[in-house]
Amino acid sequence: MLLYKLRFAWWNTGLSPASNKAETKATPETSKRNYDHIVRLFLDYECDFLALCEVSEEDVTYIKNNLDLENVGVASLVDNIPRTRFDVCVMYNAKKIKIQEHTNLIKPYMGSRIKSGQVLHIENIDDKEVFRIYLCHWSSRMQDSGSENRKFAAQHIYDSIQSYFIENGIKEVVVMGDFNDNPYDESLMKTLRASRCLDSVKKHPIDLLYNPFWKTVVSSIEYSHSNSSGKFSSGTYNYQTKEGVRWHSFDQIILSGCFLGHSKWHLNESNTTVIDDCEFKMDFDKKDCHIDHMPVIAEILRV
Amino acid sequence: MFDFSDSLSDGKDKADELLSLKEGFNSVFSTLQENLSSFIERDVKLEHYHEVEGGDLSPFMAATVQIGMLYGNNKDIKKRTGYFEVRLTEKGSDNPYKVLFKYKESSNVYPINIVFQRNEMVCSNQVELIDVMKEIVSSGHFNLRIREFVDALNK
Repeated sequence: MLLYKLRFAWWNTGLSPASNKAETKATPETSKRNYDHIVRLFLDYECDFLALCEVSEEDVTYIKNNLDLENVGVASLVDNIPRTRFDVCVMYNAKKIKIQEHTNLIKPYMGSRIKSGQVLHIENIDDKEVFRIYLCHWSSRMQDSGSENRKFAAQHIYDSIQSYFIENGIKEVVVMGDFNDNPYDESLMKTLRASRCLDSVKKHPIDLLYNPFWKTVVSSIEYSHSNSSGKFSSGTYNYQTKEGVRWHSFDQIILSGCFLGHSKWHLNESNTTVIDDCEFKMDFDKKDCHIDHMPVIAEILRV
Repeated sequence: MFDFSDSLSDGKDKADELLSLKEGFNSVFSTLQENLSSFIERDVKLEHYHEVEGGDLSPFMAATVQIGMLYGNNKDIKKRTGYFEVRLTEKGSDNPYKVLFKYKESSNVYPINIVFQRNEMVCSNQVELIDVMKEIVSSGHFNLRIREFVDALNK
């Protein structure tokens, strides 16, 4: 059987944080490492669609002009809104994918603006199948209102997906982002209803979404006396919380139940994971490097 | 034994609440209409048209779809999207100007989605709706549309 695949990836590059208060630690030397990794995501990991966050218009221009990638389109989704900005750009395999106009989803709250996400439709050129993609970079944990804001954003995305399903029936929807919450946090588990239970999502594909990144919450390295001095990373981000957790799965790709046997497109979980190869880990561990998130990738197959 | 008195009473309260929300929602647009009339010194009104799939309609088609004359009877008529397009018209004229912004109401009035330019903003109550409308009408793009409308009237 001939299988056709599409690979979606997300990476918080750390090049240009969205907040005016946050200063980038990126330097020309360390930024070069970002660009090398972006190229690797296309060449080594065969990404067809890559969303990058914490980028500015200048970063996008640099990527457009300097990255030597054939047949890869680049589109800026960077947009200013009061007091913050959307900080995402997308790169895509132009031989396989066409992208359409995007919309910014914004929730006004107490006089400020919550960035719920950005939505765009992409078309698989081969069969004209349209996928609805949500790109999310939710409020930071550094903000006092962050937790509430993330719940509002999750509700906004969930309502938008429900509205899309009401009009079109169950469809292929991908929600990817740096959510600044783990899969077990309220915003993702209760509000967005991104479940870890395959059987449940298969049975309730309209009400629930499937989150394959639950698996990344614990380390894939199992402890034993022989590796007792090793490191046990899990997830995409390293940050010590007062609850005693150091590793977090903030970056995730969540899919609609449509990919679980309700269309010809199927999630392929064996190629859906955190990209934490030695090249990324090397930069991640460097004190003077601004790279502080690992990318995530998800593969879907048309059967 | 059972009866439905309490349920009916609950329903009455909810109906009152819905009417109150709808009244508050309408008052935002009627105030905007009054303010626009004063701002451009013309008697204008905001018209709300069902948006249909497939883009901008001619004023005749917009009006036809609005009153439902052809809806369901003609295969060429496209599906409604659920959004209302808000267009500006001079009172007494049946020639609505292009879309200023769009909105979609929920069955309980709120949340309401307002679409302007590339932004879709979801408002949970009247305070948020007013906040969003202030942001829209204070934008340069909205004011350029008003200017075009006035220019077209003066021609």
